Amino acid sequence: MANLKAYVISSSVLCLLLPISGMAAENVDIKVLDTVWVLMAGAMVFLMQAGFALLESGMARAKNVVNVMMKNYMDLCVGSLLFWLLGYGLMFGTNATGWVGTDLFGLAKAPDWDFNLLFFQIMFAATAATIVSGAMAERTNYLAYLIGTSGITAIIYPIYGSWAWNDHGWLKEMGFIDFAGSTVVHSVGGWCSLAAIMLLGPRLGKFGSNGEVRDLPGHNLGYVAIGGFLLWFGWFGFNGGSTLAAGTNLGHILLNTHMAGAAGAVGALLMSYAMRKPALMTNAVNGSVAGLVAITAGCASMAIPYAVLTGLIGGALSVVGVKVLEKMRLDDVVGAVAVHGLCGMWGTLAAGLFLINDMFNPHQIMVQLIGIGAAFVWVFISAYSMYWIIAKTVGLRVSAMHEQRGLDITEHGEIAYPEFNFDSAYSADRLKDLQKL
Amino acid sequence: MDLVTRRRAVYTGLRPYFDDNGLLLAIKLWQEKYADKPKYAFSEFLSECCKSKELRAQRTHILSSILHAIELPEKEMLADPFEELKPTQKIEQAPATASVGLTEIFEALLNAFLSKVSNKEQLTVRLYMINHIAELKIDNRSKLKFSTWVEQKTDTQPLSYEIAHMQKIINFMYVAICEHIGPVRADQHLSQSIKEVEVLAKAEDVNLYDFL
Repeated sequence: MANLKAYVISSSVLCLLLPISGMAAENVDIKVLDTVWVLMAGAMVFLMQAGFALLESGMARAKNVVNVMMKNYMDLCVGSLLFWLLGYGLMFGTNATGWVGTDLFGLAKAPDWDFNLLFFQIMFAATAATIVSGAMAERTNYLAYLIGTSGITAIIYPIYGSWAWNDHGWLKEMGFIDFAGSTVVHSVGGWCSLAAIMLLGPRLGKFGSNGEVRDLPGHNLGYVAIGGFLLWFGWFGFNGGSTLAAGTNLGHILLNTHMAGAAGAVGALLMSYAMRKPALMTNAVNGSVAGLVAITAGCASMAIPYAVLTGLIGGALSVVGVKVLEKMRLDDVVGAVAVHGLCGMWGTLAAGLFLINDMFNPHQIMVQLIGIGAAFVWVFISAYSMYWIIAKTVGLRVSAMHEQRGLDITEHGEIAYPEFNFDSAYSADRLKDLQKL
Repeated sequence: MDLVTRRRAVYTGLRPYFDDNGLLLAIKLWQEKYADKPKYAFSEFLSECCKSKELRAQRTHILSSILHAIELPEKEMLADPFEELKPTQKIEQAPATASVGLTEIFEALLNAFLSKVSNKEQLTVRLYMINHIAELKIDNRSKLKFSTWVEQKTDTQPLSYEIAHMQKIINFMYVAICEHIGPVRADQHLSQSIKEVEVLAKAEDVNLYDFL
């Protein structure tokens, strides 16, 4: 009897609730779904910072691990604050001229959707800045690096972003396609890296006097692999979230993203074999990142086979690009210029070449080339000038003494693996004995 | 002259100046690096094994003693040191009678660091240091003294500097070695050199980290 009573009561409650929930489903505001998706995607892009931190520190030597991680960590912190204060307004503010936004600085009161967009875009700005940290690793003054990050997130990145992504940006009005930022984010990061490493010079002993290129192996390939996985995961938010809507096309976009990443790794390995090199894990991971970078521009406007092709070529280019830079005696610790600069360029071009229903349109290709060229000219010149000024004032490169001790000790006063540096001249328990430089 | 006889001659020449441990180390060094070199290499040999102030002051006499011993008939030479000296004797890194100061520890570290690279690499490292000596930010007199040491001249003076200069010189050598064999091996060699010299430094109450 008691059971029957419970059954009747619960059934009644269910009957009452069901019509209500049925009515609620019909009335769910699509904007709520869009908001949830964009914010989730933004959180996924946040996780890419961890991916970069692991990948870059894994490719650096053990005595500089803390420094690499601190650069990635503070890129997010400094970049978030400055992009909120200045960058977002320059990028998405009212843009009467087509060149730069003029409001929305330090956003405090705005419609809810603007906050969603700001949160999402902050993560993109941090990504652009953090690309540079890997290239400059192991010989950069930490304060100088943070000043550079400030310049990138507050000015360099948002100004180009306003041309390509602001509704009234001159590139956007021209029909430039860069859906999620092959050029806006990745090439910007890549060209900033190029400017920086040209001014910095190579690490001690990287290049021999007879032209030989010495391999300076990273201290933890496991980090590199896990970093690659995290980046790949975050990229689903990076590309998918750029729809700014929870739409039915998300599957196509994420599939393009995934397939390009996979093809990128394959492309890198194929190129390695063609160059009679071993199947290095760093090349495979960089290859997949290159594929992901390349597809970022056209992930929403390409058929899957062309996404695969884009990724495949991106991966191959990443291997070649690293070799070209070495031949030029430019030391890029993680291959950022090749993976993000060169492959960002390729991906943006591919977005024009393989535009669904309008492939190989000469006008579209020309627009893409203009956008690619404008990015290089603006970013390289402004970044080079910025780092040049930093070098002359604060000092960009650390001294040879710093390189000998390792930046973990000189910039941060700590050692990443205090119990595991058997082969090191410096131990954690004797740091206090070191004379200040 | 065969190896054993030459060894007996060197032993005879060195005997009055070294204790047992120091003598065994010196003979070992001679056999490893100088046994097949001509007579004029004795200068270099003595500059490498005479670490203490007292021995350095007597280098000229020691050299004469060795050269004299080489000319002696075999029956007047002392017995082969590897038979005379007990093999169970513990070999100490430093001569027991010597008092080694900061300068000697510094020179020991420099020598240990440089000796980690091959002979061929050592030549190019020394050449690099000579060619880039202007980049070493110490006073000219100190620079000249160091340059003489790098060139292995016989009139080399002790590398007696203030700590800051010693630090710069170690780093200068580190850069030179980095540029020739890469920073990974350079770091390993530096670490090994420090471990080698650490016992000596502890005995003399010298903080090796002052040089780093």
